[in-house]
Amino acid sequence: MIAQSQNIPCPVCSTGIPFDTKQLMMGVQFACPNCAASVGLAPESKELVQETMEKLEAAKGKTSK
Amino acid sequence: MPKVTNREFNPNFSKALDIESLISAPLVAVSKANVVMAQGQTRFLLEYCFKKNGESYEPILIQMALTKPVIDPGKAAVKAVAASAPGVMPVVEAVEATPAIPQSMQMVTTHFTLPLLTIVPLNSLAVEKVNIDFDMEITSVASKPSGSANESNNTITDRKAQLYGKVSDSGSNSERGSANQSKTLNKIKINLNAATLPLPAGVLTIIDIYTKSIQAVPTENKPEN
Ligand SMILES: [Zn+2]
Repeated sequence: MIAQSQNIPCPVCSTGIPFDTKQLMMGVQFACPNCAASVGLAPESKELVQETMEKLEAAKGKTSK
Repeated sequence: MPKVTNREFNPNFSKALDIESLISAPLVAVSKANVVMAQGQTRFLLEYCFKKNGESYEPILIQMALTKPVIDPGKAAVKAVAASAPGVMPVVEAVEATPAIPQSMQMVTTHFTLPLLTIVPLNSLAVEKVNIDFDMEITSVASKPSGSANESNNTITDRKAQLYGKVSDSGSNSERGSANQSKTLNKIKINLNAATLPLPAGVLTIIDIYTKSIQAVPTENKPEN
C-alpha cells in the first residue's frame, strides 16, 4: 500500500518538500526543490518515529482483520 | 487492502436477489470500512501523536535537522598578537605562508521541531480503491408501484421495473420464475469502481495547521568556532 505523497514546507522558503517517512527514518535527507536547504530527521527523534510507525502498522493490521 | 466483512452482504449465490441490493451491498461495506478506519485514525492521532495535558491535547514534537549552505566569510592568514607589555605596540605575526582563506560555503545544520502527526502517513489507513467485478444473471424482471404513486382511484399507476438476478456461476442458467415475472436469461457485467475518500476535513485542518507552524524561524545552533 503506497502512502499518498507527503510534504513538509521548507523552513527557509516555504516550498513543499516531498518526503517519505520510511526513508526519513533511514536517515535520508530531503532537498527543497526551490532552495538549497534539505531536511532530515534528527537522530534523537528516530526512535520515537520508529515506534509510532510500528504502532501505525499494528493499527492497520487490526483494521484489516 | 483491508478485507471487510459486512453482515448485510451475505449473498446466497443460488438465490435470486434484488439487483440494487447486490450492487449496493459491497459499496455499503466499503463505506462502513472507511468509517471504521476514520475512527481508527482519530484514535491513533490522539493516542500516539498527542499527549494529554489536563483538559487539552498537545502535539508530540519531533526534532528535525535542516541543513543549508551558508557563506563563510574569508579569514586573514595573519593574526594580531596582543601587546607583550602595556605601551608596547602589538606586533602582527605571519601565521603561515598560505594566502588568506577565501570565502567558502559551509553546510550548517539547524534544528527545528515538527509535530509527529505531520510525518505519519495516516492516509494509508483509508481504502484506496475498490474494484468489484462480477457477472450477474438476470433471472427475472418484476415491476412494483413507484413510491410517488398517489392513492387515488386512478387505475393507471406508475410502476418501476425491478431486476432480480444472481451472481453468475459460469454458464448455468436458472429456471426460476413466478407470477408477474417474465423469464429472461440475460447476463449483465457489473464493474464498480470506488475511489478513496480523502482524510476527513477536520484531520486535514489539524495537520495543515501544525505543518504550517514550522514556518516559524528555526532555533539556530551557534557555530562551533
Ligand atoms: Zn526551500
